[in-house]
Amino acid sequence: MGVNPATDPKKTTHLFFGPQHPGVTGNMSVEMWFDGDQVTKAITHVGYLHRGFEKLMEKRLWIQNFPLVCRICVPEPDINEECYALAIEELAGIKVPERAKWIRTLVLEMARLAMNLMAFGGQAGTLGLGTGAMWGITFRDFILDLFEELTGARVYHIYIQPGGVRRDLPRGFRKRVHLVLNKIEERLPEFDRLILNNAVFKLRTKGIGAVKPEWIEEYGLVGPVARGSGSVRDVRKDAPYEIYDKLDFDVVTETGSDIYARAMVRRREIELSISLIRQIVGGIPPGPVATKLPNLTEWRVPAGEYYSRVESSRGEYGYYVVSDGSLKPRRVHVRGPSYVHAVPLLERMLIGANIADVSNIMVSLTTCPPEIER
Amino acid sequence: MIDKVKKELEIRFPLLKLVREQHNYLHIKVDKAAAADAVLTAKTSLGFTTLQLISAVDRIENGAFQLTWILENYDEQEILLISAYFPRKNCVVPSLSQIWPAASAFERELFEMFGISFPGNPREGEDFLLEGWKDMPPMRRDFETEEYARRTFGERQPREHTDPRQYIGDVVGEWNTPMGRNREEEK
Repeated sequence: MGVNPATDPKKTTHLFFGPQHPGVTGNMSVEMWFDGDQVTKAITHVGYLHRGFEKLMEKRLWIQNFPLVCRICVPEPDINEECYALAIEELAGIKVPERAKWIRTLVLEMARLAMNLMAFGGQAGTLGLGTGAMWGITFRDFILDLFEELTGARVYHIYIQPGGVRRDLPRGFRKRVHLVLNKIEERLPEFDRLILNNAVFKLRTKGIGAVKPEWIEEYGLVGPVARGSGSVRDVRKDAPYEIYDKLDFDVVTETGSDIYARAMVRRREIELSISLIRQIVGGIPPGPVATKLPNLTEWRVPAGEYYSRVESSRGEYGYYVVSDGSLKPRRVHVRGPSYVHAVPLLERMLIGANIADVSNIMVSLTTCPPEIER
Repeated sequence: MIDKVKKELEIRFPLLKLVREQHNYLHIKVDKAAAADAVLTAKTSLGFTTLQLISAVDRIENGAFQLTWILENYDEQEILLISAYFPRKNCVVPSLSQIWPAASAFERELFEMFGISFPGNPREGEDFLLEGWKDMPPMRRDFETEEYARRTFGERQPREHTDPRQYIGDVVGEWNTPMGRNREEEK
């Protein structure tokens, strides 16, 4: 298939896609070789966003790293705080009060809903259906308003801390959550009409960007990328953390394996998150929201190693945290789902793709470059 | 279930040490010569077919790098961490990129960040995160971030005081700011 660029450079076109391109997800680029308009080889280039978080974390106190970890993912920062907090709690043997667990789950689902709204609308945006993208951003903004009220910040919340959350729910918060959920739910049929039932969207996504089911184990694929290919992997169900074992839900899965199936998974995830948030808001028990922590400037987390994982909107997220019993972490290694999606999988998937579908395929993986270069 | 995995591994690798064991989670440490064998055994005989992560910790006090392979058995919902210490000097670790394509990217990163070599990885040495980096691999414990910044970007003069009003005044001239001008007019 195609011409080998190494042997016949005259017959191929060599093109850089990104890092400054509206079709690229975040700060990364893909170097591609084309035979006609078909990709014969692709290499992902990252490193435009490397801020040395993992090195910095080794030089800061345990608690000082919370403002750092949330910056690993802009649209959905709370999973990082949760993952890091879970690892510290496991190493230090801290118990989290029941109410804090419910509030944490609420925050995680709100963040997931915001991210899925943006990703689902964004998928339409890459095909020129800008209205879908704008709606996604607008409805995300209503959730950011709720975050601002709850945590004091719109994007980076730094709300989850070891042993609980930073503060309790404000008065009347649950009512306002319901109002926002109703507003989103009212608009969902319009979303479907505009995006999923749109002829252009169907033609440009069905049968394109296939993820073969056997790649799931080979590459370690997770989240909507795996669930769009028939997998039922979801950490919320498989290894429930916080209060997910008390909530009633089914894992969303589709069998199309293409871009349309992944968009469909995200669309159904929006509904799932709305249902989960309603269940959580209706069941938050009374009680304290945080455990008392020792003096944080002299807090030594006992020596040990732990790999904590949670489910993000893009799939399984893991933190490998190593402590040597000192004031600072010895090593924190972040395993974001984009790592395998954007590097080995994207390089493999793009082979044989049409030039016009490249950004479409890339966006369907919802890659987040900061997860690759922490 | 994880008991079964532990027993199986203990029979095959009698020298293994247990690091952490809990519900559906097992972390073991093996000898460096047995590391690749242990990872492959977990994949072929024990159902740990997904590679989640390859991580390294610089144990500079022991003169070693601690490599950890994090594997998942999806059917049983089990997580297995296999650790091994490799000598820090000219560190060479067997590559698994032929078995898991995802391993290639993890190994390329460890080569750049720690200088750990994985012979057999066809893309080793290809620029990944640190294009054109010539210094010591930066995630090593003996890499001094501040010293590197000073050497590369020059000495940064410390502030003489921490009062922001005074600091802004030093930099832009206090009475040039809009607020300053108004105050002067009032006088």
